[in-house]
Amino acid sequence: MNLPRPNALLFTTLVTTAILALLAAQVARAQAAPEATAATPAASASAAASTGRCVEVDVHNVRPQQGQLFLAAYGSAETYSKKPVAAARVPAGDAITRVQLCGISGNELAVTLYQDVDGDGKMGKNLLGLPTEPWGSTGKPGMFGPSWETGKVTLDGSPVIAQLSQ
Amino acid sequence: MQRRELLTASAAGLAAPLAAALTASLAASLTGPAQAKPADAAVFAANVKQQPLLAPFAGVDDITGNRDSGALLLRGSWPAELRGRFYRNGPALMQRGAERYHHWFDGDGMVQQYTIGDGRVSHRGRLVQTAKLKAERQAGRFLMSALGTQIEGGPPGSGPDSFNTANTNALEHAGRVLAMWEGGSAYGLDPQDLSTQGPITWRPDLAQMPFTAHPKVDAQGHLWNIGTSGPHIVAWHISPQGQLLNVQVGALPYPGGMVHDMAVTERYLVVPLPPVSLNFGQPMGAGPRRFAMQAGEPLRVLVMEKGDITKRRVFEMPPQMVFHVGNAHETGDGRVVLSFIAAPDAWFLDQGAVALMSGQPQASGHIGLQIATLDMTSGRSTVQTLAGDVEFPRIDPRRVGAKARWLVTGAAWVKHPGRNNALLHGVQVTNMETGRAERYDYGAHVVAEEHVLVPKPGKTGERDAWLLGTTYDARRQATVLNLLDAAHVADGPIAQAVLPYVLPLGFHGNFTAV
Repeated sequence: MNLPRPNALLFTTLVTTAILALLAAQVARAQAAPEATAATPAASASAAASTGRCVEVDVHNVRPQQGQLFLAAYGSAETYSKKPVAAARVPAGDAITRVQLCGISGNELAVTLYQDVDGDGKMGKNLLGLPTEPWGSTGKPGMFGPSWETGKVTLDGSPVIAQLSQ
Repeated sequence: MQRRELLTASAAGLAAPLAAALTASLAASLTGPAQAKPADAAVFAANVKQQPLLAPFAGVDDITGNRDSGALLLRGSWPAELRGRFYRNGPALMQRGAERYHHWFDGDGMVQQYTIGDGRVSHRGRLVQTAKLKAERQAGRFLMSALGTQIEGGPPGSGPDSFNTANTNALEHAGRVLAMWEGGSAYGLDPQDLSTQGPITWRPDLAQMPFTAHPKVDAQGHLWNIGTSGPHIVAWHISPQGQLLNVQVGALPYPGGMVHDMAVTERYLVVPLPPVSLNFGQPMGAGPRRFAMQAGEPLRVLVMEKGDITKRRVFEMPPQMVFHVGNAHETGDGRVVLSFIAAPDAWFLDQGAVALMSGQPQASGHIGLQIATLDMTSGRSTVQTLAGDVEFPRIDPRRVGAKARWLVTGAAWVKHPGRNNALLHGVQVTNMETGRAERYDYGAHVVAEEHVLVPKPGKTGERDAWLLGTTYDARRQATVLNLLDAAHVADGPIAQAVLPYVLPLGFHGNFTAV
C-alpha cells in the first residue's frame, strides 16, 4: 500500500485514520450503554456488568455542560478498540467530569472517549472524515491518536485520568 | 504496519529540527532536546544583536501585542484619491517564556490593518484570537505542535483547527476579513475593529476543512480557493457576497506533499505540486532535512476545470520547489500560461526559515521567476526563467486569471556589504513579455516585504496604479508603509507612513478600496 506522506500542517490523514478507526468501534458499544444519570461528583455509568470492580475516570478538558461523553474501556492489547470491558455515556459536566466505569477486572486499562458536543449521538467529522469534536484517551496519546501502548494505565485504586483533545 | 510505525514514532514526540535552529557552539554542548528548549529565546536574543535586520522576528506577546497607532507620521504626498484598508498577516507570537518556535511559519497570526484616506494613515494590529491562542494563553505555555516545532506535554489536537494559527494572509471579502492559514478554516475578523469572529464554517459538514491562504479573487469578486489534506484536494468557490457556491473534493496526484498556492484562469484552477516531502517522524540525529525534495519526483502542475475538478490534466516538469504563483491565463490555442517563483530545493522551508528564527545569518535563497506554458491538448509543457532572487509575486487585481503584462515582486540583487541574509531589500516590476525589470532598492538597512498593486481610481492601465507595501527600517527601528507609483518604480516611494513601533515581518496582504 502506498503510504500517504504527512500533510504539511497537520498530519490530518494520520489523525483521522488513528482516531476514527478506533472510535468507530467504540461508538456502537457506548451507544448501547445505558445513559447514566448526571449525578455529581461521580456519574455512575455501569455497563451492565455484574462482575468486576468499578474504576473512577476523571475526564479533563471537558467543554463544560456541552452534550455528552462517550467512553469505552479496554483491558488488553488484543481487545483494544474491538471489545470493551466497559462503556458509558454521560452528560458532559464540569471541565473535569468524573465518570464511573464498572465491570473492570485485571490491573491495566486503556480508556478512549469523545465528547459529543452537539449531542447528535456521534463523533463529528467533516466531509474529509477529519474529527471535529474532542476525543481523548488515558495515558499519553500524543498528537496522533491513541493506542493500547500509549493509552494503558495501571490501576491502583485512585481515579484514572483521561484527557480530551484541545 | 508501516503506517502504525509512523504513528507510533510521531506520537512518541520525535524531534523538531533543532539542529538548524541552534548555534554551532550551543549544538555542540547539547546532549539532548531537553536542554534545547529553555535556551531558544536566549539564543535568539544573543544572535540578533549582530543581526539588526532580524529584530522583527522577536515577535509580540499576547498581553501587550495589540497595536493602535493613531495618526501616523507622514512623508511625501499621499494622494487624496487613495482611500481604503490595507491588510497584512504573518506569524507574530513567536515565544512564550523561554520557549521559542524554531520555524518562522509557526508563530500565531497577527492581522495588520492600515486605514488610508482623508489625508491620514493609521495602523491597527491584532493577534487573531484562535482557539489555539486562547488555550495557550490560559495555559501560559505552548500546547500544540507546529510545522517546525514539536511541543511536548500538551493535549492532542481534536482536528486541524486545534493547530490553526491563522497566520499567512489577510483579505477583506464580502464584509469580513479572512485571516487564513493552510490546513484548516479561515478565521473571520470584523473590519471595523479587527475583533475575531471565529473560524468560518461554510456548511456544517465542512467544519475545519483545509482552506489555503492563497485564494484568488477574480475581477467579478468571486473567490476561488483550494485546500489539501492527505490524499484529498478540496476546491472552493465563494460568491462575491460571501456565500458558498460550490465545494468539490478530488484526489491529489501527489498525496501529502506541500501545496501552498494556486492560480485561476477563466476556466481552470492551476495548482503547483512541488515534490517536497515532510518528514515529521525523523529523529533528531537525522539533522534538518525534514522538508526535502523527494528524489525522482517531478514538479507537477495540476490543472482542473473549475466546475468539475475530475476533468483535469497533470503536467510534469523538472523538479523544483514552489511556494507562490504570480498569475495564470489561457491563450486562444488551448494553452495555460502560469507564472511562479521557484527554487532548486526546499532549503528555505527546511533551513532558511529556521535560521531566521534563531537570529542567524544565512545564504541567499536562489529563487527565480519562471513561466510555464501548459498545452492542455498535448499535455506537454515548457518552462522559461525570467528573473532571479524575487518573491511575493502580485499582479493587477483586475487581471487575475487574465493576461497581465506586469508582475510585482520583492527582490534582492545588490550585494550590500555586511548584509548576509536572504531577506529582500527592494521592489521590482517585471515585464512578463520581455523580462525587463524596473526596481527600487530600499537600502542595506531595510527589509522589503510584499508589495501589492492598487489601481488608481478611474484608470484602466496596468501601471496606472500604485504599489503599496511595508518595509522594516533597521536604522529607524520602525515599520514603514510605502507608496510607489507603479509607472515610476525606480523613483522609490512617493509617500511613506512611519509607524512608532516594529511589527513582526509578515507574509501576505491585500488592499480594499473604500
